[in-house]
Amino acid sequence: MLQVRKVNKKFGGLWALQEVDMEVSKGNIFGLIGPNGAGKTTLFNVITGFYHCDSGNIQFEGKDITRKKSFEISRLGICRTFQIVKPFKDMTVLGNATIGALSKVRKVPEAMECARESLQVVGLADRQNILAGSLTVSDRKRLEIARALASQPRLLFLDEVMSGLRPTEVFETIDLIKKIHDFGITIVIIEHIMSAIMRLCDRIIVLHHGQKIGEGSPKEISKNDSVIQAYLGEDYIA
Amino acid sequence: MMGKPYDFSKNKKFFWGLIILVFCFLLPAAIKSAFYLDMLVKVVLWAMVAGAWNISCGYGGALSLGHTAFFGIGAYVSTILFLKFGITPWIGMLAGGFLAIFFAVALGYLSFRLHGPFFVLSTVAFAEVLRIISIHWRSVTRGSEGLSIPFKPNWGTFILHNRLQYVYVALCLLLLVFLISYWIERSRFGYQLMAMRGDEDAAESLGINTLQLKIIATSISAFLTALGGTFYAQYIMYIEPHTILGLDFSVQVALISIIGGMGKAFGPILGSLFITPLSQLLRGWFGGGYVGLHFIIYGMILIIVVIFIPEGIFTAIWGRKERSNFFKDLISKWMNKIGVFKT
Repeated sequence: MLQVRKVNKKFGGLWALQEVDMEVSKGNIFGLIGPNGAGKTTLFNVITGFYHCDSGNIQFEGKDITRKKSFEISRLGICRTFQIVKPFKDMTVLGNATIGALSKVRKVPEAMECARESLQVVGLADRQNILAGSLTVSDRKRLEIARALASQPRLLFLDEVMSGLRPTEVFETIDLIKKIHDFGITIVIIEHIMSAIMRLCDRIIVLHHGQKIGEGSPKEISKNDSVIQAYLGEDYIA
Repeated sequence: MMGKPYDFSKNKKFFWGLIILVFCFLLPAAIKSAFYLDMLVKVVLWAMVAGAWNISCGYGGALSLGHTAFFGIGAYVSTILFLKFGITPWIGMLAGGFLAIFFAVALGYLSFRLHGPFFVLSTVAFAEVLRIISIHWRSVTRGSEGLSIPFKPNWGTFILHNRLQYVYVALCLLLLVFLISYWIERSRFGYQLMAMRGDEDAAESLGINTLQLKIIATSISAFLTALGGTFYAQYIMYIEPHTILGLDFSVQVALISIIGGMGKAFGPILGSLFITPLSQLLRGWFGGGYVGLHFIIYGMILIIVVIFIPEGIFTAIWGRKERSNFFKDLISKWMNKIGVFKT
């Protein structure tokens, strides 16, 4: 579904991404892990068109999207959430989700219906008339997902949707991601909470200093020596 | 539709709108005083221009302090076409509008890559360039001397017999701006504009082409502002660069919209109903005695309004769910302010 080949991205003299390959197949939940500053979010930004890579090639469903702009990529069916949530603060929760739905539906009332459904999925339906700016952090993260969901993507990028949440909220989010996956949406997640990653993902890649240092199933990753050294730590061998 | 009993409640808003509209058109006929009619023309004109500003800046968030440029284009194009070629200002009005769109698109491609204060400065610079051109291009604009339109009242030449007729023309323009704003508020286009105001990256991630959207919004806004410019020229019958291409104008337009309520169709109308008479009356009362006193009072009133209802008059009164909370909020806010000053 998505092929990323030999992507390079440099910020000044710093290699943010170096020869990164990644292949996401349809129906998977794909994990992206690595220490802070490893280039995970940069990879998201490159794929979704917020940055352009210096060299390399990205294909989505057979189409070359390497040089496409972010809104064009979104219209092809790739949607993302932001690590630092970006709600439209002066609009209601429903309004926020409606914006997402309007990328596929042209009429506002129909888009609102669509938006209500996605709010139902994430569990924000009872707060639809509140201004998005007055939501709590965890609700903002849900809203971010609902908005992306309303745009009916085929491939969804979730950037640390669980960070800053309480343990019970993390469990709820894990269930939510499973539910979204059951709709037939392929998902790529960045996350630091290893238990969540291990439970959700079919396949994981590990980035470190912009380079891919490991790839495989959760089991394989948890036994990979270089991954343990760079990120998981000795204690993780359990 | 046929056979069913007519459902009044469904169209309640529409009927109320119609009643208010009829009232707005009948009321001016009852005013005999030239002073108040003049004030009414200005209230309506400013509401209309601020409404046009509100389309790109209020809904879209592309804050501009260069709208005087579009106003000036409208005024100069129609006046020059009329004086040099005898083309009726009704056509000149449209010509000015389209030229304003051309400039809006050109300016948009150049400056919409800038953000925040840098974008605002680029709009100021654009207006300043036009002002300097209009001062120095004497063969066409007669520079700072300005252009005056000879008084030959005729509907064909858009020079009207009395102020009441001007009020009606201005009301029609305002109605046009209001209906466009009202439509925007409920349309896909408007939702996307408001999303762009909220967060451009998030908007892009949801498939919104923000550059294109800004250019379309600014074009609509520029076109309508230019119509206002032509109307102003035909009403005052004298134009010169400093009043219609100055920064003062841009600030005034922005202020009316901000005080009234940005991103609301009714906002600029309320803003103009409040600000325009205020500045005129203050000038009338204090203008003679102490030079500049009316500016000080005017400025102080605006500061007070912005401190206490920063979201604008419209949102303060109708934006919240329970109306009774308005005064409660106001008082508690006021108490907080006092508290802040004490500590």
